[in-house]
Amino acid sequence: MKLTLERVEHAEEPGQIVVRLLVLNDSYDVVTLDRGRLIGPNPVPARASGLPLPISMEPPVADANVVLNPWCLYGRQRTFDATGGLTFHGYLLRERSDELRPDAPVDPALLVVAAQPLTVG
Amino acid sequence: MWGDHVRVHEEHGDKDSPGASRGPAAKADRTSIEFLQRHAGNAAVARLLTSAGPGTAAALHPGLVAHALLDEGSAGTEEFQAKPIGFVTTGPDLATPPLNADGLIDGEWTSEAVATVFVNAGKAGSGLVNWAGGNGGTTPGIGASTSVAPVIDTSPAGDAGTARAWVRAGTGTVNVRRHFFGVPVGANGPYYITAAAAARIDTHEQNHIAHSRLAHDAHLAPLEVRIAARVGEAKALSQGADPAAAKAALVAELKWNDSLTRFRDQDNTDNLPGGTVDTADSASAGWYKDLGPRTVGGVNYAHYVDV
Repeated sequence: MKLTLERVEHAEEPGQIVVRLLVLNDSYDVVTLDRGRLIGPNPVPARASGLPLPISMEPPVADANVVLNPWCLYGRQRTFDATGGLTFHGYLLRERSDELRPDAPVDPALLVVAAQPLTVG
Repeated sequence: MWGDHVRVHEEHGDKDSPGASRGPAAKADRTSIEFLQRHAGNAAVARLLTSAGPGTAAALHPGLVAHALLDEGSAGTEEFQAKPIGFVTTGPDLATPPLNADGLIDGEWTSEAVATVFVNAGKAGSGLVNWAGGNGGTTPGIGASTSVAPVIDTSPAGDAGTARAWVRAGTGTVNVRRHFFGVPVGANGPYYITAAAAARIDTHEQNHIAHSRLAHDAHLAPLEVRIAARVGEAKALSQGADPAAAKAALVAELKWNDSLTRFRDQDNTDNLPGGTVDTADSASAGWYKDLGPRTVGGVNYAHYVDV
């Protein structure tokens, strides 16, 4: 599995930042992905200010599994009203956890793969 | 730092609010804003109302403010001062301490730094979450303290051969006060914050207060003990050949400036944004999460925040 973070330029209104976190099944096998294990995109200001921004997660659903055929994608897009420097993070967990930081789970053993951080602004 | 000003204590459109007396015109204005919110989004409406300068909202809709900007849960009388949406950097306030003629910290050592904390003046009210440009989820004055420096009286060396120095009663006091602002449940610009998430934010702020208290107890409480031990001539320190030497010895014993500075440093380390409290608390179970876009009550929000 590969994770990438990308900024969506054309979808933005002034003052907005639109970011997608994509997970690619780069294998030749069918993979079932639990969407609750995909964390992000998580914005982190260049310097912290006020209350920490929330971690981006999937809302609870009855069946969070999605089947990814070889070289197929799943992703999550979020829009942020923000100015100033932000770095976005995203990662995939080995199993679900509620103890998360923007760039990684608290327990490093739970990290499968992380996207290359994306800095905007 | 603050930009445009929008009063949020205007009205909710109910029968008791000032705007209600404006009758059909007020209702039409309110309906227009709600229409805009539903079709253009809260963020766009917020920008519209705050983009053209102070008083814009009142000029566009006298007596009315969009519901998304209202603090429906606020118990405070603070005037919300909106600023352009964004992330403002915050670091330790570098204000130098006020010193008296003796070089001792004396008076209010202010701090404009805002984090996510406390006092126990408790919760002073609530405002839009700081992610949406408000003051919700913040605590002003991290590192601040108000002190009355010890006035040191002396007496010359007597028959015992040493001069004496003591702290004048009523001086040598430090007062640390903190308060925080919560966030309203529901609309916070582009964020919809659930009751559970708002309660978690309050808990987080109280955690900051607890850590400020720890810093106080670690550095200022012992200082108070040292002061108390030298208040009044009966508890004078006898040291030095002359009053100046006795005074210098007492200043060294009290560690007044050092204690206040250490308190401020620890308070900053723990409680400024991104400090140890934020880092630890935000990584704990039960922390609020951004569950993405959602429609609540017919209004679209880009971020539904829940625990």
